[in-house]
Amino acid sequence: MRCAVVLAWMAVLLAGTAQAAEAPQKGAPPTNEKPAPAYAGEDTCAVCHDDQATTIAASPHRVLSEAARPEALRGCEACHGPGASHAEEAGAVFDGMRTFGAKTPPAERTGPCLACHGGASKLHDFRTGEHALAGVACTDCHRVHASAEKLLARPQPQLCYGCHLDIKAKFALPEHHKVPEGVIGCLDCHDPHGNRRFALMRGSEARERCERCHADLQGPYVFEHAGLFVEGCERCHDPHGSVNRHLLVRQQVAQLCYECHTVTPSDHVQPSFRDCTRCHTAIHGSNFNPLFLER
Amino acid sequence: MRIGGWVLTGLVVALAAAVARADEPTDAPKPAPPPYRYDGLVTAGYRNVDIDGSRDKYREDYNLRSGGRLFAVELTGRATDQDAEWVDRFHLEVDTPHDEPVSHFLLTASDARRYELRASWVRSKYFYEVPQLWEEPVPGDVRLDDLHDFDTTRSDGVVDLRVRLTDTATLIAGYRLYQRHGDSVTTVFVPGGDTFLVRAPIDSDTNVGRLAGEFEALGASFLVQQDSRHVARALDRNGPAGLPAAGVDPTDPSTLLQETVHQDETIDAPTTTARFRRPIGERGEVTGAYVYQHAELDAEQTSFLNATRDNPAVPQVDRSRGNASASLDTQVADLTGSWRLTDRVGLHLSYRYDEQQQDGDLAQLGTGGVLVLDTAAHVRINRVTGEVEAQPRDDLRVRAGLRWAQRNAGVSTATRSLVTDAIGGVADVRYRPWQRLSLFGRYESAHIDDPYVSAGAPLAAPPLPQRDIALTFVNRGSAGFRLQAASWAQLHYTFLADSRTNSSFAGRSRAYGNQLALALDPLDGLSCYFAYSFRSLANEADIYTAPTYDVINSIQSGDENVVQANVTYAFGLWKQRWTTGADFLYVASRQKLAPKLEPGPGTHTFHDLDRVDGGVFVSLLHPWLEPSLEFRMVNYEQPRMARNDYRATIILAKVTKRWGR
Repeated sequence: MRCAVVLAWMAVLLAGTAQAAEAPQKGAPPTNEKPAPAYAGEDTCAVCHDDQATTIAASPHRVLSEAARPEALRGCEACHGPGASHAEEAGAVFDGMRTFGAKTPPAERTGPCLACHGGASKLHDFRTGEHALAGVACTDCHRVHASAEKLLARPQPQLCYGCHLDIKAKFALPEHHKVPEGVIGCLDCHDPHGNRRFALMRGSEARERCERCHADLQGPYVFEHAGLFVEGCERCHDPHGSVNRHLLVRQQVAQLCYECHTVTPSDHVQPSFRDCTRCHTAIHGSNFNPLFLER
Repeated sequence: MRIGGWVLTGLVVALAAAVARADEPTDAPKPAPPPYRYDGLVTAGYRNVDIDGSRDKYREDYNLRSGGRLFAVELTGRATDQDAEWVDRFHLEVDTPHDEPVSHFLLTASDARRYELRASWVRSKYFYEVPQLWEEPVPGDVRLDDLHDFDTTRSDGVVDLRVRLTDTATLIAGYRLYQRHGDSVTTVFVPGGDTFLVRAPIDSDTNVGRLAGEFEALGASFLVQQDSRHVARALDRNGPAGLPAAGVDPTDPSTLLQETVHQDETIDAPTTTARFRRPIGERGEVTGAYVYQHAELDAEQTSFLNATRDNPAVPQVDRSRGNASASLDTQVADLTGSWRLTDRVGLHLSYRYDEQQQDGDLAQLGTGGVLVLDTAAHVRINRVTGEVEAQPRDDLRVRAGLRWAQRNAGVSTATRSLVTDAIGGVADVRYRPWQRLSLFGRYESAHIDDPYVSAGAPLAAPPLPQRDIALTFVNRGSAGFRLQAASWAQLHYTFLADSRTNSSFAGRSRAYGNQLALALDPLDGLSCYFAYSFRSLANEADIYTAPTYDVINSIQSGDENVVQANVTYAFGLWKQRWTTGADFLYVASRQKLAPKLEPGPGTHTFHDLDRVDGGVFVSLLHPWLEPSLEFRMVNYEQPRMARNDYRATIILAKVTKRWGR
């Protein structure tokens, strides 16, 4: 029922925004105070920028050369802006152009990319995602002139390590997800293009993102482990890396269990009880035993 | 293995054909350009590995073995006339296909105007049989190590195809395969007896199909996606099957004569996803998503147990047959609005609803009687966030936000339902006072009221309290800088601090760390990277242990130091191009643990380790062949658990042959 209300709210908002978008913009500033900059065409650009023209012709962005595209969205000027005056002055002026250098604000470097790619579903939330809010632009990770896979500046995880040094160090610990070995990548768990979840996590709140690969442990179970069901896998595991076995947040299993469970049977005193999972083997959930003594 | 062999054979044949085609004489009467330009490589060689010390621990960590190896095969084709071909570019890649810890197979093909295909298959091996887990021997214990060992292989396959139907519509089809197969040793607790070792082969296959469409309508862009996931698992147990018939407690006379369990489980989980994004004028946009998944589990188990017990009242033989089923409904809805209030100020508001509702039932008939149980669990979370970002100056960006969440959770077998509120804030500042220097700082905080609790026993002697299972007051901060000292030198420093506490059980988890990275490219062809990371950890909580249930301070505290460095240098010598380099990794961890769970003097135990992994290589980049030699040494030490130590010396000689570019 609550979800139906949410859906109804979304539908109303969608309809409302559709109307709002079609309505004329009140109070829009007067335009045409000075003539719009002119376009030079990509052949003109190639006269001086031969290297870039060659590399982009071999990249997926060669589609920008299609003659059917409008002038403002064609060739080099689709991203760099109108370059007629730049060409006429032999590169001395950059009137109205974008250079995508480090001095250009991130939003300005991202804008031209989203003009074409903003409709792709994976970029729906980019503007409100953690990367964009932290000042990361598309061109920090992608090289638009290149032809590498996904146009990445460097392959992952090296690309991500460039900023996330602490995570790189955790993957160097003896117990780690096999990211350095290439079995999985950062993008299998994180969505760098943005969403409203903590750490740009993919999937729903609890364990769904882990169970995607760890299907041998996937629920539902008849008997759920409450800590796992409510708090998720990260209550007990450190996903990046750890010195503790099985990426646990404690080296001694009993120490970890006792932090939540104050009640243990009074006969649990032998040394063998220091490892709770020695008997409670189905600690991720069970279908046949409420005490998790078997799966 | 067989699939890998076929793929490899196919690749080699394709590579040979491609090379033969590429090498066709160019002075033919009508020299029509070939449809594709190819480049590729093959790398093969021999690895020699010498292990001194614990082979099991080495196998867990590295598992690189001696022998001849095919290390890599790559083939890339680019269409000469991209408009004339249906495949602009394709790329085949195979890494270490045979009997290696990780094998990769990748195929990509695309036409930038029409479609994009990506298929990959990764096989990885996992081994775990730790020789020594505890610092001191425990009198009366059969084994000191973890009783759960495994030797398994994972296979993950991905196929994704994106077809561009029109300028505003894309069709997406995908397939995923997740397999885990292998052997494991686990334990079974026998009522009235002891805990025994049994064999438990692992056999899990998951297939996921996906069909989706992206399109634009009503001025908005949409994604509609349907996934279907099927999991099939066989969870058998066989004992003793060559393992000791006696239990892990030598004082217990019971023995396991036979255990045979066969358990089949299937899960079907279709998922429907819808997303939209709608720009509002020049300054705003609304995005939303809705996800619904219904997962249905069916499980069937037959078991036979024959064990002598130390409690004669329990029958020696136990047979049972049971059926279990469970369903889980997951719904996620979110809606985000974003507005640029002015050119320098933006506002973001979002709402998210997340619900999981689970029901389960079990019907089991055994020697001891009939067991029928129903269970239920739910988690519902409402979350609202609001953030303002502003750029008061060109070189300064600030951001501040508030987050509120309410969670309603309950598990029928655990405790009562609870409603939990969490409120938090985040602030972020980025300042670029100089073109070469960027400074940043970030702080976030969260406070949780009425967290989920596990059950207590107020009538026990002494009374045992219920326990929060969350650290309710969270503070995280980070700050640092990035300095581009010269075009060839960059320095990056970050300080991290993380504090989580819960005063109700003296729970505390504190960590702080310093990370420093230096990247240098002082000469043409020479690049150096150095990184140092230090992390200090302190985790504490009050715990209760049987039989006296006195309050004990549980501790895991210590520090971790990680040093990583690598140097590569490309140079010319004897009219040839060469490349050489070295890499170095040092990890040191010192951890203090309490309480000490095994007998012996002292109140603490320790978990310390040191690992050094260093290698050097030299390669000759000759136009015909590229021979390369690599020497690597790994030294792993656990000062207080020496049975885990090993030293591995690895020598690798390989040759690469390239074609094309």
